[in-house]
Amino acid sequence: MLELINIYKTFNACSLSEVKSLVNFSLKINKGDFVTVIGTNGSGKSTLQNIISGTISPDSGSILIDNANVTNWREDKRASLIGRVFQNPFTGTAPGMTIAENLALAALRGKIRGLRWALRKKLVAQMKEKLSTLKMGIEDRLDAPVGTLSGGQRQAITLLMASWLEPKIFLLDEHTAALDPKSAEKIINLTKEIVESRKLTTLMVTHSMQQAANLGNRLIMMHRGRLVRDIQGEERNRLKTDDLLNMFEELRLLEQLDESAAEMLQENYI
Amino acid sequence: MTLLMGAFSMGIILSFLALGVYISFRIFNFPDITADGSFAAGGAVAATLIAAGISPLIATVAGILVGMLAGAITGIIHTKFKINGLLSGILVMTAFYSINLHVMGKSNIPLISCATLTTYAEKAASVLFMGRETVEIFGRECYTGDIGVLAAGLLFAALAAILLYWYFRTNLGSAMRATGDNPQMILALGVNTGNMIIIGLAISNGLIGLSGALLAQYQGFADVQMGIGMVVWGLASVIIGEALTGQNSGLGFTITGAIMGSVLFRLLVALALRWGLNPNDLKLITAAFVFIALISPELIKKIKKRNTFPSMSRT
Ligand SMILES: Nc1ncnc2c1ncn2[C@@H]1O[C@H](COP(=O)(O)OP(=O)(O)OP(=O)(O)O)[C@@H](O)[C@H]1O
Ligand SMILES: [Mg+2]
Repeated sequence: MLELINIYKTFNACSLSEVKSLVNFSLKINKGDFVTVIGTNGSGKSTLQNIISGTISPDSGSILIDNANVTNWREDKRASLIGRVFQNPFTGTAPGMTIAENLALAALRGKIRGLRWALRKKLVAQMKEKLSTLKMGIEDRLDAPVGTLSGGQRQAITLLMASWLEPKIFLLDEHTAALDPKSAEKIINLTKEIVESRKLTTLMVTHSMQQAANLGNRLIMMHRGRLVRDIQGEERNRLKTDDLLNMFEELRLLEQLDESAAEMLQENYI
Repeated sequence: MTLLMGAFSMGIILSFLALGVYISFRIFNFPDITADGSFAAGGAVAATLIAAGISPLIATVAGILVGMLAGAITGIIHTKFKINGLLSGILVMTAFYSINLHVMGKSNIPLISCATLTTYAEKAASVLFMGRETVEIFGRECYTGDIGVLAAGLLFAALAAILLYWYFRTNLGSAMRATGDNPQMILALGVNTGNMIIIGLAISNGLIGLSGALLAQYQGFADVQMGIGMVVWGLASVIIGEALTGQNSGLGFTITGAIMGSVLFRLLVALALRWGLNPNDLKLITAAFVFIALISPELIKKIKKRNTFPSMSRT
């Protein structure tokens, strides 16, 4: 279970380039929820994930995972609770190390690393088994450097790595955005399979309205660092791609209204 | 033959330096120039202790430890105080110049008539060869003492290579390699990358301190200036090693490559000196060599591109 309470995050405060990335942001996600996150560019979706993972710390507010207050935990400590997949396929794997070595690193996420041989036989056998379920033919290439794989293959491996040890929170940030449509579909199916079969508590950012409408049991929409929509239950089940497009259109109109109002004010008073 | 044997032994002794530089520059992607300080520190501490009558084995271990200390300090300055990596190394290197002078009490300590690891190896060889001073190898006279030193050096280097290979394939060692390869990823997998860098630089500079301690014993003196230019020297060895084994070959190959590169480089230098290269020009030539080696991959790429698209440059 994840709970965010009154999170504020401002970048470059008190300067011309000040950005309020998260404004009084609160959210509670139940165990096993699969939440899709949508919102315009710069609305704070990645910032939200980075705040949860501890990559950046909030200006104020608290973060609770399974009722433990982790706000002051460093990123490497929080990693024991969190599995992450990033937008860029290059971010989630070490290119110069082999597939097996990458997976072995993930098999100890958040655990103490000692002087035992990293590629133990039992672990390697497990890797083969899990990789063969991907049907990408990489189970025979365990000793190949990850840098020799395609973006889709790397993203598939990152998914396996992030979920190797069951994470309390599974964070996915537009993890199919950099892939071609076919690979993206494969990765989405794999994501669905992993999340649903293991009932992972998941927060998935996406720009694909189709993904947002088809996946998960809850959807949130962000705008300018705020939560503007939170749709769950029956309403979420009825949700269609068109509804999502309408939501964005509404936002756009509101925005225009804001702008014209501001212009009017300017004309009248300045 | 003596010249060849000498160059070979020297290359083996400096291969510990090459291994250290390989760890910082290649595994961690960290331009650590602490080496100039830790190399001299290893030599200074070992020589001072040996001159004071302490066992050369203990003195050598002390040389390793002081190198590790220097590396750890650089790592701490860089990770905990967020100072640029290059600058952290410069700070420690500069500080160690004074420290080394204090340790030695003067700028040069001779080790003539002291028992050192070199004299141990020479004695062992003389026992093995039943007291003979020279033996014939490939029809040439060789001093048994030289053979002993070389054999001992090779043994140590092989041991270091095996230990490093094993270490970098353990869970902790792989986390270190990942820290150099993709810090963001390994952080997200729960590894404190700062600590990895501190430990890694300690290991790297421990090897470099060992190299300095061995060199002092081999050449029979320690000099406060003996570390100058050693980073570049080590880098040249690593680059030659990569040329021999291929840059992206496995860990075992690159480690062996660094050792072979060090020996080969020393042999080349010995030959060049023999053919009349002014020793004063040595560092200049080493630097030029590393510079060329660093830019040549890019240059080759550019030339290749030009050749593949000749029409594009014309339009
Ligand atoms: N490290 C940073 N320094 C300064 N500004 C930042 C930083 N990170 C994010 N921002 C700003 O915060 C705002 C929110 O960024 P964020 O990356 O969270 O948006 P996003 O919703 O993920 O957008 P996208 O859909 O483009 O990925 C943006 O205006 C961005 O410029
Ligand atoms: Mg983003």
